[in-house]
Amino acid sequence: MKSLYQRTVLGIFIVAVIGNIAIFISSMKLSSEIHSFDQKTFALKQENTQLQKEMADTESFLHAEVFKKNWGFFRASQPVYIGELKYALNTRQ
Amino acid sequence: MTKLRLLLFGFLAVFSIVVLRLFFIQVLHPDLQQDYLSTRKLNPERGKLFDRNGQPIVMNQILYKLYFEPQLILDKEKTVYSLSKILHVEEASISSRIDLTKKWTSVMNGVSKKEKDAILQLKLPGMGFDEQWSRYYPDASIAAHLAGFVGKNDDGIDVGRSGAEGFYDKDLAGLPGLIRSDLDLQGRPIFLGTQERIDPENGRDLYLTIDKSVQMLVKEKLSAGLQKFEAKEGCAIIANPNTMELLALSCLPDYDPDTYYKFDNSVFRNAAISDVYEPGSTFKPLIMARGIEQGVIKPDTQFNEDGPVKVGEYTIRTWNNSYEGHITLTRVLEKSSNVGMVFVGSKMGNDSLYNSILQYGFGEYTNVDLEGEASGFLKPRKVWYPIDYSTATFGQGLAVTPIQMITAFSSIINGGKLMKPYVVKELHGETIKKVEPIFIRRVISKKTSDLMKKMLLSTIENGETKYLKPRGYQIGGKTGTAQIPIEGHYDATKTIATFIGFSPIKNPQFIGLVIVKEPKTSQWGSETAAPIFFDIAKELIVYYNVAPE
Repeated sequence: MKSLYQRTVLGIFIVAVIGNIAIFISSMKLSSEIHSFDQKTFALKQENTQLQKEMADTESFLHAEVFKKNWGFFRASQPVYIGELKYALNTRQ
Repeated sequence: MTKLRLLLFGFLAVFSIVVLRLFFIQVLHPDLQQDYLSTRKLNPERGKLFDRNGQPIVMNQILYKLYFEPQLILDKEKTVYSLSKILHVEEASISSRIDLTKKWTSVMNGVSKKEKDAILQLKLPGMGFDEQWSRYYPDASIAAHLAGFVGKNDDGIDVGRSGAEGFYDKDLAGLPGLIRSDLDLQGRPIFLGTQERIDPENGRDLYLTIDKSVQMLVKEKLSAGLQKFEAKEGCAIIANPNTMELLALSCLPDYDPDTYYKFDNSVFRNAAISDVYEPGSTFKPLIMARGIEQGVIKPDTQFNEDGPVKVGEYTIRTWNNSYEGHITLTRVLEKSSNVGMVFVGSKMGNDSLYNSILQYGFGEYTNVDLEGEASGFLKPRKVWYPIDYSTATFGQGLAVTPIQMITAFSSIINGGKLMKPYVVKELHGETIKKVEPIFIRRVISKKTSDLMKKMLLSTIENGETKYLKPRGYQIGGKTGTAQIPIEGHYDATKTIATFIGFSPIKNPQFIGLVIVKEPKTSQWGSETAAPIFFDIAKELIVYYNVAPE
């Protein structure tokens, strides 16, 4: 009887130790994953911010200004404003 | 039994070591806990600013702070040389930062990602980077005074200064979060330990009423105008007169918000809301409108302009000292007759005149949502002398801000409603908060407003100056030229030239105020501020697809 009791305690003890080690290892893994996801999230945020910046740059007037100068766009095609209304109204003289 | 005892003793020994270690950490050296328990502030992302069409005006970017751990640097000369080439900084300036007695030293702020990547490729020991959030302006200073800038307070925390950044600082800043976590020796969180996290609440994004295209156009035209007329400063405001949404606001000279610290403090002042000036003749239509509203005058009321008017010891003349005899009050506006306005004032009476000025909101804040607004200056009623009532009719003896002026003028062309000016139309956070136009009070009736629009159209069509305005389109407006009071008298050589105009006449879509300070080529508003306005209006008519009238 005593031997059965001792073996049961030992068994529980061993299971508890193994369980603890398993939980500890899995918690380490989870911690690593949390850490890694945190870093990835931050990297994505950085990349997102960088892309937003590049997008804003591309849409900016400053970019258009450079584009305009490179292509001589405005010099080649002078827009006709409403000083000459016939163009706006598309009428023939 | 012996084995079990050994096991028991073994456990007791291990347990004692753990208890002793805990005693050592928790009782003898509680400060060591900080090595394991880390508390970190999570900074929220500051809200961004967009124009009314969602085009970015102010964004965020991540820059880097480069730091050294001098004791880990192996080859100082190589490190300094390489960094100097990549960062375009003098070698001496970097070298002076390497203090071998220190464990850590900051080298440079504002390092870009490109520069950081280039430095990392060198794989030099003893240096690292910390992220720094900062503001980014894709169109540089396009709306410097409107947007404001972000500086630091005494605690080194980012704070919005001036403009929308200052006014909406709390909304833009958001709320910081907190992370408390037990870390292992490699700095990774221990899942079974303390893990508390309060996420930060990012700042709200602001969608302004400004249209970036109109803003760009206005700034370009104003800049060209100031250069052409050799003026010291200038401002232009374009608004929707029906709602008082500001569509563009530009004051020059301005500054680059990216490098605001390189500029003199004086350029941070947004003259459109912070500076006061005498409105001069642009004030006349406001008084005329109230006179018509009270029924004491009509646009075709006859007035005998037979010479200067004496008020006490003062003599009031027309701007060119010419007098036309019997003229209508519409003509009074066309030729901008000061003596005609004195007549209008006398018909209204002093009480009514003073009350009218208050009704338009002069002497009080418009409460525009920008930081740094001034209230203008209106003398207390008890110190008004008869001459003050006379000069007030043509905009002298009182000081107003440009934003007050355009707000008041809008009310006489939008059907008589005084509206609160504003620059933020939406706040985007977890929810979207829309800002609706705010009606303050009615100052004149719609009927009077319609009459005023016709009179202001006539002022442009039949005024002293013929403007280069687009054919087929109708523009109403009024010029103003105010001398600058210096030490109790007016300096005739220094003027503030203004023009305030709108189009189309039937249902105005935009109103614009142009102010040119101390122009040298001509002192008159009709020859400086007005051409700038017409240049802007010509393009706005195309932009807003206004039909010919």
